[in-house]
Amino acid sequence: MKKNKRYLNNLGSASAIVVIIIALVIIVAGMYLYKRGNVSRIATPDNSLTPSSTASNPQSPQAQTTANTASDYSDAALQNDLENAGTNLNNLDTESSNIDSGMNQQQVDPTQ
Amino acid sequence: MKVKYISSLAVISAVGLILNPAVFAQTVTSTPPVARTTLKQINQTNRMVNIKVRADNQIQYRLTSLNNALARIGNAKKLSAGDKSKFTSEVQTDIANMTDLKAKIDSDTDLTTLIADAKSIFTDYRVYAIFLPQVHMLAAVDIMGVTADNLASVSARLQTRIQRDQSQNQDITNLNNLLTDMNSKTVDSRTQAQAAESEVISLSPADFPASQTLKDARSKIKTGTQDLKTARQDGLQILQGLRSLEKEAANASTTAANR
Repeated sequence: MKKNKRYLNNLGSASAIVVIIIALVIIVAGMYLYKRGNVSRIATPDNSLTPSSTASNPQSPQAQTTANTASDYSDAALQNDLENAGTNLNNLDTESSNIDSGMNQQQVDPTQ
Repeated sequence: MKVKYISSLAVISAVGLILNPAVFAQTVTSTPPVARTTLKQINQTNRMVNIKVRADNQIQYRLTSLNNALARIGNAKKLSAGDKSKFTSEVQTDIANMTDLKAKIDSDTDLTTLIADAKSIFTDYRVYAIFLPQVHMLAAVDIMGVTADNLASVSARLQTRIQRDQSQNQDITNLNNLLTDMNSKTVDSRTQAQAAESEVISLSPADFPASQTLKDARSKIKTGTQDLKTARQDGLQILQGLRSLEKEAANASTTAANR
């Protein structure tokens, strides 16, 4: 009777250990799969273009590695981003005028 | 007899005095050199005043432009931290040195020194000839980089939308062609921007006139800008095309549901 009781105790302990090990395996596997899923989700939107300027520009915006949400694909969001690009291009035209006026600046010699 | 002697002596002295060339020399030739020296001094003083006023104006124009450039460098988003720090430091040094030069010019008392100091406004700094075109070109390159990032992000999302429409058996040939053009123009704008940056980043006053380098970089910025404008137009056309396709698909499904 005593022997049977010890046997049952040992069996209980062994089962508990097996359950704990299985739980740990599931947690580790879950974490691995979650991490893998995140990486592929972040990388997907930008596969079409290689950001060639990032190598020499440590301060380049991180938009390339940020996951897009569903609303980012909407007409309004895309239209808005294209409008922003238009504003940037207007600023670029202003900067180009600055370059041209600077390059054409007359040098006035004060000693003449 | 004594009176006669004294009178004769007086007459002889008077005649001698009148005929003495030394007297003429003293009375006639002493005045003109003094006048000439004074006139020369007045002219020189006037010239120095004029040079100082003009030099001060030239320095003030440059100080204003340099302060604007300082703000522009501070706002740059893609210029590397190292280059930002380098150019900020250079502008600040130029501003400090030009302020010192202005004080020196204002206190110059020698014309030759003043002329040399005034000429150094150009020869030592080349603010308008090299430095400001360089800063504005780097600012343009910065805007090009930000815009290319923006358009690349839009392109990636447009591609997803096109693929979604393709899976619904829509004809996306034209949209794909526009997307390919958008991507290639965006990539080329980055290439042009990087090439322009490489050309101007290391220019210094010693490289004056460097006109060919500046013209070349300017030409690359123009090409890159045109690339970005075309890429943006492609993006707008793709978006318009997607709207039309999706509207047609929605109408078709409504018609099918009503049958």
